[in-house]
Amino acid sequence: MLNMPARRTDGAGPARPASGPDLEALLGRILPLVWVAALLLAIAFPLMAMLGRAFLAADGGFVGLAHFAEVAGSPGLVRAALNSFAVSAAATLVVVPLAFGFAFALTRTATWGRGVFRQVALLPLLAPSLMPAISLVYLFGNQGLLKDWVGGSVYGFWGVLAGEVFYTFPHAFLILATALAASDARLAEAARVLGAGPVRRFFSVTLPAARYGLVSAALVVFTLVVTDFGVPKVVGGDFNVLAVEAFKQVIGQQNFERGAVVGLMLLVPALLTFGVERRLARRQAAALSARAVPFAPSRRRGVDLAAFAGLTLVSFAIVSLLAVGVAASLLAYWPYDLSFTLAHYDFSGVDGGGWSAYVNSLTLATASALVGAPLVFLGAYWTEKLKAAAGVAPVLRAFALLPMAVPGLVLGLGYVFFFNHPANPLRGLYGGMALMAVCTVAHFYTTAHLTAATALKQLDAEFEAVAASLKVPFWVTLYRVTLPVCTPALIDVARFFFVSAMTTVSALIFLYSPDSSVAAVALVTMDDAGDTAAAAAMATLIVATSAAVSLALSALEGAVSRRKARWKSR
Amino acid sequence: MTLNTLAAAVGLALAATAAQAATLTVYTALEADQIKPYKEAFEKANPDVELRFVRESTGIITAKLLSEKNNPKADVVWGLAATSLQVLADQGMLQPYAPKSLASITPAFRDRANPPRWVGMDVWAATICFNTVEAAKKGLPKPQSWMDLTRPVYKDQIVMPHPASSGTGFLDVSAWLQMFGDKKGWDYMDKLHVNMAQYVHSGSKPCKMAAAGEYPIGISFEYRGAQLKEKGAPIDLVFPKEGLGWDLEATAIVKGTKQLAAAQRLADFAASRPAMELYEKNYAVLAMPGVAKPNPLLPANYEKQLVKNDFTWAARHRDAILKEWSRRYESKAEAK
Amino acid sequence: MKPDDAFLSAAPHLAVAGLSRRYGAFTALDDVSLAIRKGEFVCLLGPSGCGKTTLLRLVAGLDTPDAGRVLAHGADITRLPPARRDYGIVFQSYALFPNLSVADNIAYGLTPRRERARHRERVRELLELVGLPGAEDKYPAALSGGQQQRVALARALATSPGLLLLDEPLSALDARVRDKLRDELKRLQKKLGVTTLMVTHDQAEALAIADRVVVMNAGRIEQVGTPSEIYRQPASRFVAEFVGEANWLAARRVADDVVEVGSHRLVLGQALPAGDAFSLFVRPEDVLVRERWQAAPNTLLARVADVAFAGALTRLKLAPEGMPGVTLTAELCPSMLSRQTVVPGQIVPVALPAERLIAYPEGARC
Repeated sequence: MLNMPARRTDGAGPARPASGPDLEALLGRILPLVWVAALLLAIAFPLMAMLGRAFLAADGGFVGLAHFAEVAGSPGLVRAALNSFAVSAAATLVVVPLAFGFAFALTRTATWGRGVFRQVALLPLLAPSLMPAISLVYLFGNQGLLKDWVGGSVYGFWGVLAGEVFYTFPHAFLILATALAASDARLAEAARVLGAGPVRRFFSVTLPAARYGLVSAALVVFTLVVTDFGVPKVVGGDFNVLAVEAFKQVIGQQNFERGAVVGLMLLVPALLTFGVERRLARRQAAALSARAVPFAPSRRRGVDLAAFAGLTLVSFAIVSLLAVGVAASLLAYWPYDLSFTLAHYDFSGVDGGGWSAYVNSLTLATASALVGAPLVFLGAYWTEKLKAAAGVAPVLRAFALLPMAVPGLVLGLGYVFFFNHPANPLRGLYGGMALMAVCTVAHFYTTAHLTAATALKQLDAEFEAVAASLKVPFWVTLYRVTLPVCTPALIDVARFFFVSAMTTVSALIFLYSPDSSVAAVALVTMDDAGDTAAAAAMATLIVATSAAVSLALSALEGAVSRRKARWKSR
Repeated sequence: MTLNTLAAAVGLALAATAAQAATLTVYTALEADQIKPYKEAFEKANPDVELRFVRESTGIITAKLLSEKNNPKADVVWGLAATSLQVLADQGMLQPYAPKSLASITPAFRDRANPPRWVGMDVWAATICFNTVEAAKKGLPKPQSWMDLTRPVYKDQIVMPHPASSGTGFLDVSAWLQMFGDKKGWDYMDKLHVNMAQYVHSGSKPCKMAAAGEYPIGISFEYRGAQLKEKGAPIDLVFPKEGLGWDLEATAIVKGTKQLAAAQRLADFAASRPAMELYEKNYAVLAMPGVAKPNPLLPANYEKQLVKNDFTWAARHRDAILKEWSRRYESKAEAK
Repeated sequence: MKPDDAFLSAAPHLAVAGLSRRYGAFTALDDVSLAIRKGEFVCLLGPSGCGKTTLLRLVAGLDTPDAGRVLAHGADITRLPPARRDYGIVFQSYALFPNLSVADNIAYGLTPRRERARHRERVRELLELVGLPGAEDKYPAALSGGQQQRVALARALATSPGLLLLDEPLSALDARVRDKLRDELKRLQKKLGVTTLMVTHDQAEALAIADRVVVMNAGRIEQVGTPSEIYRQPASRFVAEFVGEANWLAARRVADDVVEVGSHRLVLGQALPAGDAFSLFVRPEDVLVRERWQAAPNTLLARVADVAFAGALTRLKLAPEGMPGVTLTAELCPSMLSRQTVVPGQIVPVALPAERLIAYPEGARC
């Protein structure tokens, strides 16, 4: 019946003659190096260029710390640094407890509509940071709807704070929700059995279990605010911050050396928090036991009602900030003519590039998603799965984490210094959409990489070994097995790139040329020119597009998952 | 042989196409809503030349041009403050050229050198946009002069453009210094600073903010004010009685351009009568006399109200003025 | 016939020589040598971390040794990538491709891919062979653990490899399924004659299935032998403890083949190793309970401390007189018990046959 084994075992034995060079091993060694080189070019070299620029004079001579001394001696910049620190610290103090409360209510109570509340909490991710700022002006500006609710002017510290709280809320929420969801329900139960009251349980079990999440969220919020430039640009008024200062120095005064110094000042806190955050992440992973039991909250009417009220309040604030922006774009002439109009969506009379900027944004976002997702996925595949790449994998992994430590503004500055350098052969790319797509993918590489790597780690570690034993090259297994199984993660990454590319301003503001302006940058320009309604219209377009594409990709993911369910059906 | 001929033919054809599709990079600080008709008019008259505009506010375009001094990217500057162009001229960055219609340009509105390094287009001048509705609510009197703006009643009610980024902002500062003299000028701005709610990025924004009632008083320029008033914004245009600071929008060819011929054609067009007729739609005082028509929103003696403006002086002192301004008002922005 | 064919067929089917592998400060494999004959079923047995999986992965080319060589038919394949070697492999996790049907999983390594009809036939044969006929169109998730492992086995055999590597293939299965599949695996291996190297930490499994067992500990080979050699003559104290049950008695040297345990002298079947203090090893089934006292060497009296019924046999706990603190476990088969009844508290004569006693030098216990 089975004669083939007999024939084969008569053969040469467990070694097949080598035939030609081993393409698989060769590719396995080269491909990861290509990725390392790409990341060097897209991240490390621009950073180094910026570093160099901070120590060089305009004509190229080394000046040591002269630029730093100049900055330290200029009261405007020192004031901006202090302001940046103050508003970042304040935003952290507001956002972290708020997001913790929100996440706590979602994960630890059985309140109603938790799925909806979760989506609402993530809504700000769809909007550029300028949007809440514009809405704040419409709400609390001198002609604001609710002007009387606030004592002073929205322009300045308080306005920036409010805008940043909106902008950073989902980031803190995601981290804290994960931390709270992951903590072990058995500990809480044990504490309850031991007779600890709810307050004591909270402080002795819940809070300590989430402490890494809390610190991590605080660091992330702080860095986001320090490096954000959209909110202070719109509602900062005379409240100057470092991020806006970097923009003013480089774009406004073409003072690249000072811009580089300010960029470095922004990079330092980001690098510090990144280091602390990574360390914590490792400790947290070690602290979590794999056998932890997820917490399943039970119905407690009073608690649930209170949670519902709190969630509603925060959600209402989030939705209103978005809704006001949308509404503002549809009103003829705030506050004197409140009739409905679509005129603000005709961008021909305003600066910033109008519809062509929007089309550019779509192109950029699509390109970033279509190019970035496969690129990141393959990069993660090399680090996680490719045995031949084992030597290069740690290097590639380190480079994949680096972008998280680099604020977009700093990356954009680095691109100016590196890609616009007269000696750079890639100089032709400067000002083009291609480089902007590269910058976007590089800027958001880490989060995408971690998503892809997590998905890959969930696959059986022996797929590649089995395939190798069957003499099937890795690219066949990648195509036939790994990719199909990881499609949902791939779609996730694509969606992340698309939305990020639609909403980001910080890096692109240094890279666009008149032909390649994008919607989020146009927002800045329009606001600069005082065309607030047009800016609101553009912001609305961005949010609507991000939301539509997110929904479409979610639907696609759902369809893929249903196909997957076929494999999983018993 | 045939191959060579063919290659030559192809080369010629390519050269022809290249000539046909000459693209000029034009740096400008014109208002966004003005560029389109200007561009269309030029390209209609010169179908073989395409214009690629890089638009930023006056300060940014000036800084950009200066930083690109050794490696210029612009071919022509069309619509930048004469003060800024004078700075560039002083640095030897502009290509002198006498456009065909130079003879019919008012001598005061062109570079004094011959051939001129820049030629004026039109005048834009300081104007206060005053929101009557909000002023009535707040009981603010309508200011009549620059000095009025320092009255305590206007505290935190005024916005003006930042002189470093905005040409309008700079012409205000420059005019105050030239009108009142150095010491009195800075004293005036010290007092004005006390009443200032914000310094904003662009020259249009203060008037737009005033029009939207965000702040009742915006120091801006007459084109934006007239346009917003026409659109129905509840604003009055105030022309302070001490005189109006002004600057010229002007044209210049960047030295070192590889498209000198095309650039000169654009310079010719920018100073021509058809172009002046386009400028006329936006501005009341033009570099070519006899084209302008009276604007009902502007006073009849508008041109007389313009202060004396010495471009050479302004250009020489631009850097120092901005530094001093920044020292006085930017670093202390919080400490008011 | 080429001249060196004779040499090749004389060389073992697979051999490793002086193989070492370190991970940082940890030595996973320390100078290991082993030869496997063609058609043999060899089990690598040991506790976790003993190096058995490392050895398997080195043979498979999934890892590279720091020193030593892997030889196939005498040819050095140490540095060859897995795809240039000739083996099929089955993992504890099955590693079935979840998005491919059973048929596609099994046909995964069959080339060229366009010969679908031939592959279909081959898949049918293999599914019949592993006892899953007709499962072609199912997906792995629809199969039980045992069924999935059968598919994984079929996939590993599909290309008719010269060597089958099994990495704890049965460890994830329920006890009952495990025993059944173990027997089938053995039958299949004999039928196909495929040389097989299996890693397991389950000594019963290794003894039941293997032609030869390689007991490993701390990166080294402790003993290589047939299951009965391993069980009957453990080469080291580690092997004796790891494989099967044993009684251990502290003993002192009296003569070359005589030791003293408590106040008793026991004679051994062979000379003692060097040293004065020993641990004396005796399997529970070798502790013989006599019907009546008969003065003979190696016979003593013991009080029955406990009687535990364990199905096929009965387990006694005995406290020998003259050996304070010592408990001997004895396993009696029912036929012996039918002749005499044993109750706790009773004193019975016990014999410890000299040839069943093995003395190991007293050292650090594992």
